[in-house]
Amino acid sequence: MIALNVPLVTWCVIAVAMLTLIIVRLCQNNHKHGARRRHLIEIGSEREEFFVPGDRPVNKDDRYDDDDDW
Amino acid sequence: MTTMMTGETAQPVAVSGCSCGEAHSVKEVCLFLSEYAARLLGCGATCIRVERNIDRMAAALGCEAVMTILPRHIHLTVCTPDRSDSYTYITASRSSVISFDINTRLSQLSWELADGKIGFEEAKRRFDSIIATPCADKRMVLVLASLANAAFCRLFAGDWQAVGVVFVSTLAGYYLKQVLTEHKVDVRVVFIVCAFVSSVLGATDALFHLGSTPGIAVGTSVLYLVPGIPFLNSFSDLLAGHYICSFSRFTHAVILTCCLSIGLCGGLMMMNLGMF
Amino acid sequence: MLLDFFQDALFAAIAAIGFAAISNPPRRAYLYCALIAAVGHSARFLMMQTPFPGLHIVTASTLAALIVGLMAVLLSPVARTPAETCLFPSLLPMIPGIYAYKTFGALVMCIYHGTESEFGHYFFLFASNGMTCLFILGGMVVGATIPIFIFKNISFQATR
Repeated sequence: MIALNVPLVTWCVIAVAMLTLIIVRLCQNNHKHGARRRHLIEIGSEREEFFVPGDRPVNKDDRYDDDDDW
Repeated sequence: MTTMMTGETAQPVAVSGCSCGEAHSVKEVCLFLSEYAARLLGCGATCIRVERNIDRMAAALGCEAVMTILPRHIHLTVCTPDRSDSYTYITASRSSVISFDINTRLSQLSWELADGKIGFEEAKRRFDSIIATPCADKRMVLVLASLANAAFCRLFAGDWQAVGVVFVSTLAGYYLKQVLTEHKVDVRVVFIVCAFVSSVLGATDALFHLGSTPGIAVGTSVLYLVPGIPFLNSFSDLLAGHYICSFSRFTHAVILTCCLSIGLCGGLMMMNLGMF
Repeated sequence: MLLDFFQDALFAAIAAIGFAAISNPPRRAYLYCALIAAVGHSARFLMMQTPFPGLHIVTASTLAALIVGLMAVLLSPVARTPAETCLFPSLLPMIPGIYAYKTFGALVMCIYHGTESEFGHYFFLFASNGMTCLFILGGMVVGATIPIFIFKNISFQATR
């Protein structure tokens, strides 16, 4: 059986932890400076999934004009 | 009752014999000077400099100032030369990062006021803009501190592998210090954690048998944490006769060194290395 | 020997710039700090070598700090900064950091090792490292402060 090499394990843990910290902070910084937060997984609205040409755009306020009635 | 009423409603008496030519009361002078002293002490100035700058500014504003500098507070009394009016104020010293830039500019401000180049109102405005100065660019400081520690390793006769290891371990440790300080973690905890991380990474040389001077690499990898300025300030205050301040600064520096050693000892123990 | 001397000066200058950066000096002070630290540290290096006086580290540090203090006081009006702004960062490379934490390391070892001879050995290390550290620090500050008090007019009016 291989004996557990404490120094090597400690070293790896610290090195990995530091690398993770640096990467996470860099990503956070990018997010802060980026125009919009991007998520890996997002839940879309029904309107985004079944878009029929002629629908009102998503980000437009629900404001009815006279044009919408016909 | 009437005297109290008049005391409250009357305009504050302007100090006569002031060189700046603007009307200001003893109270205003005292409040400004105690804020100034608290900031100057907080940015790492020695007691003798705080005293001199305050005396100089008080004289320019036609007052006399006497103060007690305590480790965390400044107790300042400002009075007119004929002792007809006086005001006393106790401020907590603003603990901030050591900044010789702010120290320099506050000293310049005191001379400008003393030489009559600016008035009291202008001095207050400049003071506000000086203390709002942001610190130097963090990334630049990080790289320079790492380079400095690597150069230190070379000064202690480490080989180039050791220099590289020290550079990387300082980079990691100092970055961690910046992150933890940003999150307002207690400074003693920061020192223990950073010393531990730096010493473990500094032991890379010994772990993978990279160079011939692994001991020097571990020893110098934590040197960036040694509180040099508090040690120097404490001895400087000792020579100036400010024993209480000197003692408290010395205690602070010793405690930080102690925390640094705890982290280092922990790191060495985990890496199966000895300090001696 | 000459190479060692210049190497010492160069690395002391780099160390001074880096450690100065930690204490946020004004930008124009960096160059002066580097210059003063290089001269001071290499002077100490030279004084501790055997063909030269071969002084003890405490004496050498005090004399080197005297040189550093003199240069800082004379250069501070040129840099238009208080004397400490140039002086303290230049002294930082000479701070006995290794002695300081070895002191505490030895103290921990004292507690770990119970037998009288081992305890005595580590207590000796604790005391000798601690005293060396204190005397170096004291000597450095005394050495560096003397010029400030001799040239009081220059050093406290540098920012005028």
